[in-house]
Formats: sequence, structure tokens, C-alpha cells
Amino acid sequence: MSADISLCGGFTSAGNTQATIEALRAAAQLAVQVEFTTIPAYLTALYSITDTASEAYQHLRSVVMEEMYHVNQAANILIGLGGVPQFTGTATPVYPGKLPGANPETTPTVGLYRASPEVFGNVFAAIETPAPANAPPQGSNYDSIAQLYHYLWDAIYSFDGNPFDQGTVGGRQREDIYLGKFGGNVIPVTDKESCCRAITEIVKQGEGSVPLDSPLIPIQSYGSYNHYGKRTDGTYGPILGTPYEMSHFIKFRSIAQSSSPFPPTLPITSNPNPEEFSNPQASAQAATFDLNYSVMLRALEQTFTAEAPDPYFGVVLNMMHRVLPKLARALMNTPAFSGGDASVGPNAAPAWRYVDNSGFAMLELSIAAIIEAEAKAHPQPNARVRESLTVLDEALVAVREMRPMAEKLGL
Amino acid sequence: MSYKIYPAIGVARVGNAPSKFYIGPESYRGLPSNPDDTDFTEQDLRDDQGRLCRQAARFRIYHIDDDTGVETEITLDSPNVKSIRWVAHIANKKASWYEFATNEGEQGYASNHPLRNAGVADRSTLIIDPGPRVILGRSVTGVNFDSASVPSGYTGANFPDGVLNPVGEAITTLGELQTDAAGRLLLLGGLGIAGSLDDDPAIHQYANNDGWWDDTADGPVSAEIEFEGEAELVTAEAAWVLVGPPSYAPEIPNLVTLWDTIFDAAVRNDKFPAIQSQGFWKRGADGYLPNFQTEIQPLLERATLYPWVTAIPPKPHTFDMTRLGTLPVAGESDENRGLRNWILDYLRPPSAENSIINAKGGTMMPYLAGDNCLIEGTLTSKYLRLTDTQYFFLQQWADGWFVNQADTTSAAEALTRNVLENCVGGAFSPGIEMTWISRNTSIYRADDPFRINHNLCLDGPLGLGFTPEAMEPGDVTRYMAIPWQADFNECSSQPMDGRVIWWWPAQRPEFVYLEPEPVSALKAIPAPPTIDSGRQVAWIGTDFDQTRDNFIAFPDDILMVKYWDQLGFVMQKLVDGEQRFVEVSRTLARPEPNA
Repeated sequence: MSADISLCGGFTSAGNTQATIEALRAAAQLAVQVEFTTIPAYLTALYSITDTASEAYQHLRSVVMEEMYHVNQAANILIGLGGVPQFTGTATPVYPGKLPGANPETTPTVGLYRASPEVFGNVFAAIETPAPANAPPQGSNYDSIAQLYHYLWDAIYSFDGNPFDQGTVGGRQREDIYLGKFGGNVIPVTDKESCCRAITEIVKQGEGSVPLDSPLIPIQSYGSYNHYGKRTDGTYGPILGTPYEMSHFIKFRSIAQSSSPFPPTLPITSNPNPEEFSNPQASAQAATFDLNYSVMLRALEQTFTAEAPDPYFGVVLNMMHRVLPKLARALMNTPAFSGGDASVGPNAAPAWRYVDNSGFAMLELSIAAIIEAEAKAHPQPNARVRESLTVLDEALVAVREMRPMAEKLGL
Repeated sequence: MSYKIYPAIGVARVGNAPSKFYIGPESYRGLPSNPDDTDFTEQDLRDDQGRLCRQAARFRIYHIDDDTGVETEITLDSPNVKSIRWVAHIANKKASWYEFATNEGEQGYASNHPLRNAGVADRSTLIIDPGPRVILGRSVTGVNFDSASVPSGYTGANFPDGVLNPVGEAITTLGELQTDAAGRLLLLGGLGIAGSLDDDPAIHQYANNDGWWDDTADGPVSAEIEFEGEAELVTAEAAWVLVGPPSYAPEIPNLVTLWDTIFDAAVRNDKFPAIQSQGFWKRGADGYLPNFQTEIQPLLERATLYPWVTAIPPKPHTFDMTRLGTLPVAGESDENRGLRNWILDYLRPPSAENSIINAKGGTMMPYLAGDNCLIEGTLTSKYLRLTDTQYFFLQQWADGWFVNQADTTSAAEALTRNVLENCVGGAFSPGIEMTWISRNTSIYRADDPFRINHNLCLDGPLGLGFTPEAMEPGDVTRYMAIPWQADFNECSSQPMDGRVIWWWPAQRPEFVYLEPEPVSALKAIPAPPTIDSGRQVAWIGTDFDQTRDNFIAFPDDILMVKYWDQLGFVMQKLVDGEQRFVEVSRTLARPEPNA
């Protein structure tokens, strides 16, 4: 099948944008950063929800996973163009703030919030807002993410020759790091057609399509039942193809407008500033979280870098899966202010800051120290503290397991 | 020196073709084989009149040298073997036993547990018992377990008296013995007849229906070998045969197989001290190191195969086996540990039988119904999980303590393992071939965890009780649904906690892929793919509304009694240039007739 790539992602490409390869790379890096920026915001809200089986948690989790797919897929586009994705330093998102390059007048402020129907409606659904019909491509000052991709696609489509045919490449495209049941299959991007497929899937999965009832992606390369969700018979079960209900926009809207009660959340402070925490455990745990986050970002960059040893399955996945959520949960169960009550709040929350001097040795010491401090501060721990100590211990075990390998990889 | 019959538990399956049959798969996820050794094709699933063939269980005798462990198969072609005299005795005790009520009774029945056909005073009349049969020689046929050939002197033979409705046929036999050209035993089961003497029969329940009969069975199989010049016969250690429903997707295994379940019971009963001893699992580097090729990879492959027979997404069930089987180098980096842990974390751990979502929000696997999702109580286990032993192997593997080497199981032991790995090891509600009685270690020999303690009951009559030290014909399958078609039809999907959970898709397909219609030369222009290309369809019934009474099942179990023999099989075929599992050999119209 050869698709009509001038209609990629539902965008009509005039084919009159003239951009250099460097400009294409800059646009693709911007796309990577935009996708990445959503993840800490979504994760903060996710970890604040305590009922993991609730619809709000499940919907948000599926979106976060698919955003990780978007990051991976956008990174492949950038690498195909001869770039190497950056996640550290100035590329690390800062909260609260706008999506990188977004129109500050029309787009939401992306922040680190305790989950609520309002956050789902006013922030998350707004981030994933569909582009209105005929919205122009915008490489900057865009009103919707789709416009940014429209711009990227226009520039790639109009490029004279194959922009993915760059002789020397510093990056390594990856198809193996997006795991699990969620939508989308990462593909390598080697020409305009594969780029078109990549962009189509990212855009339609995120914002959905306009009008809403037109099919998203009728066929995926795997089988026919790709998703479980609400079926047209009113039950939960397997769904054929990728219906519009699966778009991030509709998922967020359905939670924001749901008449059923929102699940319980931890009383975390929104847009936390660890410098203001007067509880020393909270400050120490927040710093440890940032340390872990920073090491993980460096490792993530390395996974996309050609020639570098690959830390994905040994380090990055472990940190995402076995360390980061545990540090986040422990932090969110710690009062931000001295003498606070963790069930009343306000509790601390991760600030998701990048710190330069980060390494596994420091991370291990840091986690061990917060465990010691926590135990010392609570000679008679209650259930909540015991739970925190347990997850911190688990995180420490995981870090100790990873450390020899991580240090070999220079992390 | 010992002689043993293998497999220790053989499996035959019913079919309504009176003479043509095939031999059950003797390799793991293998196809059946033809008695004449020709290649098995989809044409061999039915006879020339479209009737479904029976699956015979083949039994062989092995001589095991006690010193060297060397196994040699003993047949009539072996030197000095003069004759092999096989004796088998199968029966059906379903109607005489207790009602099946999920896992009630596994730890012994309560005094208020209801009996099936409680109003029948003479319980012996509820047993179908043809008495034992003997066969010896090469290529012998026609030794039937029928009412006409009950051995003289046998007391207690019994068959249901009359024509059964709605099928209009009587159960007059439970099967047949044959031998092959080398004198191995072939045991064929019943013709799949089920029904009631009631003029207007109805099926009210998935497992217990008073007045109903079916012709499945089970029982011991023994053999005596006569050597040239030796007066004394040598007795081989006896085996057991189970006669169950057809296997409609023979190449697709269950995540938990019957072998896994029996093995796990033995492990937890101290039979494999290298794995578990005195209640403690041998964890860590010095503990038991599972073999990736035989104890880990098959579990992952089973998950990979499920999307062919039920509607589940293939992507998360796809695994990079090379990466997952890579051994960590001692003292070096273990670069795949994260991935192994990630997979382990999705599997439902022991004690989480009633949860579908884990603490991280992930949907725990398998997405299959558990032993008891039907009756509220202390024994509730809504969702299936791996056996303790399977889970322990995966824990060791995730931690990096495993090996990756070729299978070294001996041929004879492999025969038992392969045959049982093609059967259901859970959920037992009640199951397909054997239920939770398979986990009761008291029914097995102390020196062989797969060999059932047997009593051939050569003179009859059969007993009515539970005698684990001397299991009688019919004592293993009597727990199963009566008729089997009721459970087989209903146990397709199970609504639970707002979701619909699958039962045994590998044994009872739920959604299947069809072979594309042959494209004529004129139509050969490539058409653009549509939403309908290669979509899955319901194996039975409809799939668009999960609340309909015919959602992937017949709306009435009695239709399964009528049409079980016309359903399609799932076989691996080359379709459109790629290997797929597709439905073949279906003779029933789609959509199915409704009455």
C-alpha cells in the first residue's frame, strides 16, 4: 500500500515551506521536548491518585504510556534527520510553564498538580486539544500540538530529496523500548512515508481527529483487537481498531465531566518548591527524587545515542519502573512542613528538576540517608510511615542492583 | 529393572466418527498423528461423511535400567518379547458423584454438599461401567467397551437404559481398545453422545444436570509382558487414561497446563527437593536454576499464542526471546534485568487471585477466570494465576538465576509431560480433562508423582466412595460437568468486576481467524485494506454485544450437545504468505442455527 503522504495526519501540505536540515532537526527536537514535557505533569497527578483501579488513574496511566511512545517515535524522527534527542540540561522541562514554543495566550500552563476533575479538564484536556479545521501549521507559537506536527510535516514533505538520508548519524533509532498493551507501535523513520505514518499515529492518538466521529487509525499492523475499553454495547472489553474514544483528549474529557466521584488523592502541594519545605525529610526526599530523575534522563539520552552502551533494559526501565514511582509515592506521603500531618497535608511532591552532578553512588547514599532519617524521625512509625519505609527500601534494593552496571556505563 | 507404561496419564477424546480416528499429540503443541503415519492434515479431523474423529490415547511400555537410567521401548518387535497383554477398565461415574460447586470438596466434601441425582436410591445405577477389557497381539481392533461384550463373571456392568434426548441415540459404549502393528495400546473413547431419558430435556446449569448422561470416562491401563522362555509374566507399572472433549486448537497450549498443575502439587509435596524442600523454595544463586528453554520460554510463548483464539492485543504478548534468555554474566552487567522484572510484575502473584489491577495500576495477567469466581466465600479465587512453581521459576529468572540449555528430559518422561501439557491445568471450574483432583497428591504413587494409584476392579462392582490409595475407573472424571457440553459452551466468557474475562481460549476457542476466501484470477487486483480485513470472528455465536446470551457461545447449552461435532478446529497454516492460525474443518453454518 502506498499512502497519499500529502495528506499525512489529516494535514494538507502545500509543499511550499523551505527549511534547512538544521531547521528540521530543531523542529523535531522541539516535538520531542513538547511530548516529554507532558509526562512529569501527568505522572505527578497519576501518583497523587491512590486508587490505581479507578477510571481516572487507568485513563491517565494509559495516556502517560502513550506519551512515552510519542517521545520514542518523535526521537526516531529526529534521529532519522541526523539529530540526537536531548532530555537533560536546558531540554529538561521546567514547571510551571508553557509547552515549549506554545502560544502563551491560548495554551494552558502545564504544572505539577494534585489530580482533580478540574486538572483533567482545564489542563490535561487543554494540552491535548484537537486543532480546529484549517488551523495553519505553526513551528512556534502554536495553539495545539497538531499544528506543530503540521509544520514539521510540511517542512519534511517539502524538503528537496530524502531528509532521512543523512550520511553520518549520531543517534540510534529504537523500536524495542515501548512496552505494554497501550496503543501505537514504534517504527523506524527512514523516509517521508515512514515519517508520515509516525506523525499520523502520534497526532491522532493524542488529540483525536476533527470531526470526532471520523475513524482514527482504522488498521494497525497488529491483529484487530488492539484495545480494551468501553464498547458500543456498553460493556468493557475488546475493541476493534482504534476508535476516537481512545484519544487522549476524549479520555481526559470523560474524567473531567464524569458524574461519578473522583477517586481519593494524596494531599500534595501543587507546583512544589522544595526550597520552601520546612520538613527536612521532605527536602531530602525531594532532592533524592531529582537526583534519580536526572540520572535517568542522562541514561535515556544514552539509549538514543549510537555507539554508547545501551542502558535501557538494565537501568532506564528499572528506574522508571522500580525506583521513580516509589520515591514519588514516599515523597507524596511526607508532609512538606515540619510538624505536618501527612493525611491532612500539604505534602511534598516531586519538582522534576535536572541536577548536573548526579550519579549512582550519590543516589544510593541519598536513598539510604532518607531511609535512616525517616526511621529516626519516627521511632514508632504509623502505617503510612511503614509503607513509605517499605517502598524506599525496595527502591534502595533496585538501585543497589543496578549500580555496578550503571557505573560501568558511566552513569 | 522396571517396566512402566507411558504416558503415565494418557488422553483420549470423544468423536462421532465410528471408525476413523487419530492418535493424540505426543509432542508439546503438536498436531495429532495418523495411525498409518501419513502426514496429519485438516482433512484428518473428520471422516468422509464429515463426522468428527476420535482421538486415541497411545500407550507404550518402556524398560528403565535402574542403574543407568537408560530407557528402551518394549514392543512386540523387541527381542525375546513373546506377548504383551493389555488390560484397561474405564467408567463414567459423573451421575453418581457430588454436585460440582467450584472448589468446594477439594479439601473434602461438607456433610451438606448436595449429590447429583439425589433422588436415586441405588447409586450404582448411576454409573456407566462396561467392565474391564483385555487385548493382546498386533493390529487388533474391535475390543469394545460396550454393553454387548461385558466379560463373563463381571458384576456391576451398567449402561443408561434407553434412547437419550435430544440426540435420539443411546450410550452403548464408552470406547474401544486396539493395538498397533507393534502391539502398543490404542484406547479410543466414546462417541460424544450426551442426553437425558427425559422426553423434553433441558440443561439448567453448567455442571450439574440431573437425569443427564455423557460418554466420557477414565480408568487404569495395565500391561503384562511375557518373555520367551520365562514362565513368569512381568507387570509394567500401570498408567491412566482420561477421555475428554475434543481438542479444537491442538497446537495452542494453555498458560497453566495439566502437567504444570500436577508438577506443582508434587513440588509442594516435597517430591522435588531441589526446587522446594520442607516448605522452603530454593531461591537465589545456590538455589534451583530454572531452564529458560523448558521452564520460562514456553510460558511466554503461550501468552504469544493466545491472541489467535481470543480477542486480546498481540503487542504486549510479544517478547524478545533472545534478550530474555540471555544469561547475566557473573560480576558483569545484567542489562536485561529491568525487562525481566517488568514482565514478572505483570503476572498475578500468589495471594492476588481476587485482583485484576496491581498497585501500579497494571492489569495483572493472565486475563483469565480463576477456580472460583462463581461462589462467594472464603475460597473465592476470581482470576487464574500461575502455579506456585511456575511463579517461583519466573522469580528466579527475573533475578538472573537461571540457565539456558537444551531439554534433557528423557523420552519416556517427555511423553507424559507432552501429553499433559496439551491439557488444561486451570481454571478448575471444573475444567476440561481433569479438575482440582489433579492437585490432590494422595491419588498419586509416592514414588511417581504423575502415576495414579490404581485399582483395576477386574471383578466389579465399582465402589461409590473416594479411595485415593486405590483409584477406580471413573474416579478422576466424575467431578467434571455433566454433560461436558454444558460447561464447554458456557465457559467462554465470564462477566466480573465490570469486565468480561476469558476462560480457556486455548482449549475452547472464543474468537478465531478465518481463511480468506480464495481470490479468483479476475479479482486478483490488490484491494486496499479495510476494517474487515483479517478481523477475528466469534468461534460460536456473536461478538458485538457482550451481554447477549449468544456472546461467543450457543444461547442454550443443549445446542452444544447437538452441534459440538460440527465446530471448527484451529490449525496453523500458511495463509497469504504468512503463518497464521485459522479456523478449519467447520461443518456448522455460520451464523449457527438457533434451535
